[in-house]
Amino acid sequence: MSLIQVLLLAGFLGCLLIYLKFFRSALLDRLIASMLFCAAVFFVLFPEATVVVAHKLGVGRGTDLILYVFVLLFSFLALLFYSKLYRLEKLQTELARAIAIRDAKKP
Amino acid sequence: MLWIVIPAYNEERVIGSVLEELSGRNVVVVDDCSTDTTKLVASKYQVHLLSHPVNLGQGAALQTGITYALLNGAEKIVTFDADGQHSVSDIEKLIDALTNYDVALGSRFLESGSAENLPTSRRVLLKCAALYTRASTGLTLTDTHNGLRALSRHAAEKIVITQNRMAHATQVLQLIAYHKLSYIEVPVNIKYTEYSLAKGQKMSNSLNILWDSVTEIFR
Repeated sequence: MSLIQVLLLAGFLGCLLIYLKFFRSALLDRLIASMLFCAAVFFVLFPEATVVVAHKLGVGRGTDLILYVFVLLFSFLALLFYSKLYRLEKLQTELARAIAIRDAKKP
Repeated sequence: MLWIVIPAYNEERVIGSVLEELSGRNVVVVDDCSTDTTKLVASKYQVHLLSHPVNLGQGAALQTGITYALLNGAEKIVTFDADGQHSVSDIEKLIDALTNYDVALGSRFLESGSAENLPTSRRVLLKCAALYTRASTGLTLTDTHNGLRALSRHAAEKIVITQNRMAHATQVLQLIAYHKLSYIEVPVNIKYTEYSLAKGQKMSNSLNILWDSVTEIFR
């Protein structure tokens, strides 16, 4: 096993453990995370497999496929976080407004 | 009952004289977590003083004031800036217009309205904003970013501002169009001072405002 494979596997494993241990998420989310982890481990151990999948999808190189998938996932996550951020901002506003009205100083 | 809503953020230098001029009226000041002594200054006047525990933006402060006024049975609401650029004498003109319309919007560009010392760059920017508003709401207005307006209770209940920052000006107009509220522009006088220009919107922020407004549909 090459050094980069060890590094990647350690990194992925670390992410998965942190996710499962510290983020109490839905069972489905944990399943998805575990499946993604398995896929990542598989492609790290057998990098040639990415080429096969890439060809099937009409992409020339395995690394290109990885890049495309990454861009797609990243965009999706960015949107997810944006909407989450917006919801938090809305909650914060409602909370601040309720406090301001409750503590109003009348003349 | 008429309520005057004043959102305020770091206006310690001028808010005193604004509140002085408005004395005897029903005023609610919403301090948007100012970092100066705005709150202290405002507390010396006979006003309802509300304080945001965190800074949220002018749109949020306006909505807090409007919500409070409605809770207190307001029949008519006038929104008024804290930086001294609005004239108290324009309030009656706006209120008069409410007899026939749901909303009366102040305009500095209507004939007999005026904008003292308005720099050309600001004039161009405001014209662009009016074009954007026409494109996004279908409303044909001469002045889309004027903080001086009067709302009937009915209109105030419909116009719920969720744009916390400066894009609320456009949102108010979008909601007027959406709820098919009747509206009229009323000429008002805006006094540009060195102070209000420094406090007002920077050119560079207009892109942020546009972004907030355009991404509205994703929320």
